Amino acid sequence: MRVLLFETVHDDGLRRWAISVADIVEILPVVRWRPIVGGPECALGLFERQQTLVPLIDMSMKLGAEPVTPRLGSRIVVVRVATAASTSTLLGLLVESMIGLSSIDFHASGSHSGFDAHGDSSVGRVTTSEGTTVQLVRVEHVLSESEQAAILPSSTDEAKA
Amino acid sequence: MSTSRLAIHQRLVGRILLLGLLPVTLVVALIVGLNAYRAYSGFVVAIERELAEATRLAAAEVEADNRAIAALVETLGQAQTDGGMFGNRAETLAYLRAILLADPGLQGTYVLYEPNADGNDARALGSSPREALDAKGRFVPYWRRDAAALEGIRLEPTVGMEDFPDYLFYLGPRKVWESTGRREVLFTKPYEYEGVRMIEQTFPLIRDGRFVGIAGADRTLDELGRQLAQSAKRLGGDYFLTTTSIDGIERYIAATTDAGVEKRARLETREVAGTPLASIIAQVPSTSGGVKVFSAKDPVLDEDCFYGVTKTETGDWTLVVRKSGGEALASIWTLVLTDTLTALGGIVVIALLLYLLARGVGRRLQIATEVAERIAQGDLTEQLAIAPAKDESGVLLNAFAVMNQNLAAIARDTRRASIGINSTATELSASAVQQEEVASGLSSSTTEVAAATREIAATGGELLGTLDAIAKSARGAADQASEGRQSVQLMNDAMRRLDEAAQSVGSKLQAMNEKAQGINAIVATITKVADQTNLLSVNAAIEAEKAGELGLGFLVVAREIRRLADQTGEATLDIERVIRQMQSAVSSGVMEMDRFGESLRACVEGGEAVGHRLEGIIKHVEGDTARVGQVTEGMRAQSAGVGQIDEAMRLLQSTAKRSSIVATDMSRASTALQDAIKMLKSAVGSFRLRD
Repeated sequence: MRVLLFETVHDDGLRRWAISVADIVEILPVVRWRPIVGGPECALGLFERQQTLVPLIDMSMKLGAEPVTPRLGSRIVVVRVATAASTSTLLGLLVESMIGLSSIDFHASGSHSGFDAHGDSSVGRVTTSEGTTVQLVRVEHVLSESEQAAILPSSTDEAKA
Repeated sequence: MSTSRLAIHQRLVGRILLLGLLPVTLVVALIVGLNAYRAYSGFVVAIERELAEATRLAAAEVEADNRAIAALVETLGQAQTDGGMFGNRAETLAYLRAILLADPGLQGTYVLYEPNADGNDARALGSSPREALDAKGRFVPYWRRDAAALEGIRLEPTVGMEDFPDYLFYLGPRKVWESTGRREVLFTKPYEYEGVRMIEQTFPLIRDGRFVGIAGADRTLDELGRQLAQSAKRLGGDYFLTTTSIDGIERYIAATTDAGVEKRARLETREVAGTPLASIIAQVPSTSGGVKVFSAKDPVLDEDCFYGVTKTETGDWTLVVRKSGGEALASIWTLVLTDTLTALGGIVVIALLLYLLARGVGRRLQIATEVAERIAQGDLTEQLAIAPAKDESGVLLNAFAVMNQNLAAIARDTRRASIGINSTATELSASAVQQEEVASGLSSSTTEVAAATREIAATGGELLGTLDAIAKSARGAADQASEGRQSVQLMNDAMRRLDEAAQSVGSKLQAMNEKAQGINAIVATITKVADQTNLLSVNAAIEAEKAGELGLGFLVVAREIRRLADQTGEATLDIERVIRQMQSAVSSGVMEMDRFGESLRACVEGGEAVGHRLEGIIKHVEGDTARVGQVTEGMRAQSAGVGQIDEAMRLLQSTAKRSSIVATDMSRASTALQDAIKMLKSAVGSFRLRD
């Protein structure tokens, strides 16, 4: 499975995560975004991509680390997620430190389900690669239902559009 | 001198006063003391005798009253039993009434029968006056004084006498008769009855060997007190009367004074035991009629008192008479005071007479002593007046005066002869000595001046040499200073050139620094391009992944682009690090060059200051050289002057030497004259006074 690897910074060191290449639309440098107040804590704001406003999510916060401090290796990973109205929309994930592309088999012997019995958690299976543990981030479950309601455009918006 | 005069005078007066006054004072004090002692002991004897007499007299009066009432009561009783009046109630009442009216000293009279003793009780209830009977007709009349009643007395029945065995005025005589068989008058204890304090005298009625009643009379304690007060007024002192009744308790009957604890009114009827006077009253002699006199400290008055104590024959009462010792002592003190004052007056008069005598003798003796002392010291100037001799000391003084005058006349004549010659010789000698001293002084002064001028000349020569040396070295210093000034100028020029070179190096380094910053900007651009290339390669790889098999070739290219971008990034990082090092080196070089330039500038300024200072020194040295020349000239002229002074001094010295020789000759002549006068003085030595 081809994945994009990135790292978050925690008190006890770095943790490595993987996003499936299939979900990725594009990788952007850290652009300026417009902060929006009143939304969920992890929603940083909105940025423009090809005349469309895309919500920006702080992945470090989402994955239990300190909020992202933008640096040279920081990137915005643009992914496509499915909405309730069986349409799809774009979402910007701000990752602290992008590593690069890699091929990892999350179902190899020795890997683990990552305590995800029902398959609806934002993170999934865990395995070992190049001496480090890597956990798969499931893009379609990154936002909870309430967050989706607040952040993603509703079907009525789509209809108007 | 004056202190010794005072001492002799005072010593004489003091000694006479001491020897005269001390024995007199001692004798007088002894007489006064003895007198006082005799008077005191006589007074004590007298007061004790007087007290015994007063006690006896007062006791006799009490005794007389007691006997009279005892006789009265006995008569009253005997009239009943022996006189046949018993049973005749009307007559008895009249008799009792008559007695009470006749004797104002009585408070009441009574005759009390045993129940139905005369067998008439029942009958009497109808006839006799009810006031004389009790409820059953028993005959118990009591006539008593009552100011409100007719004639001042009234009759009332006596009841309850058996009910109060404590009073004993009824049962007491019966008890005595039954125990001893004697019929005698009983004096009861003092007590209060219906507001009246009284004492009773009762007598038993005995018929056919049987007790049938009593007869009695009362006296008030007030009346007894009044009589005691009359005795006190007549005889003096304080009086206390007590009795011991048949219950064995001693009580006060009367007193003329407050006992010191409570009022007199309360003292009466009180028990003696426990009062302050109890110890005094206990001194009573056991036999009646005897009087005991003694002195003791009174517990109430807190002073020494004299006491007389006795006992009455009738009634067995105790009488105490007290007299204060203070009165006795007061009269003794008056006596001692009078004696002492008289004695003191006498002593003062004697002292005055002794003092006058001692002073006269002392003064004349004083003058004689002083004159003798002065003659002993050779002083004959005192003029003593010859006065008519008052006493032996005056004669002595006159003899001194005559002796003094004679001695003075001899001495005066002798002295007058020698004084004239001696003074002339002394003057001559003195003037010769003076002249010699002046001459020798002059000689030595001129010698000193000559020596001084020689020293000045020598010092002037040395000073000249020194000044020449100074002038020479000053000139040398000026030459060296001007050479130094030129060297400093050369050094300054070199420094200035060095400073200019340093400034140009600094500006070149600055330019290098600016170039390095330009390189930095280029490197930043390369870095940005590498970053974007990296991003592009990742996106390309993702696109290639999505294209599947078709994109495989492109994927390889994308990976290669990415590797190149990474390498470029690393290279730019290296360039950046090298440039940063170069920049810091250049900055420190610029700083070093600035510091070097500052040091150079400081050096140049210092050099210029040294040059200026050297110039000042040169000017000073040149001025000093000129001044040293002037001083040298002056010194040379001074040296010549000193030589002339030395010459003049040598001349003066020879003249002084000649004058000194002449003075020595004159001194020798005056010494010869003084020897001659000494011989004359020894010749008049026979006129001198011997020591």
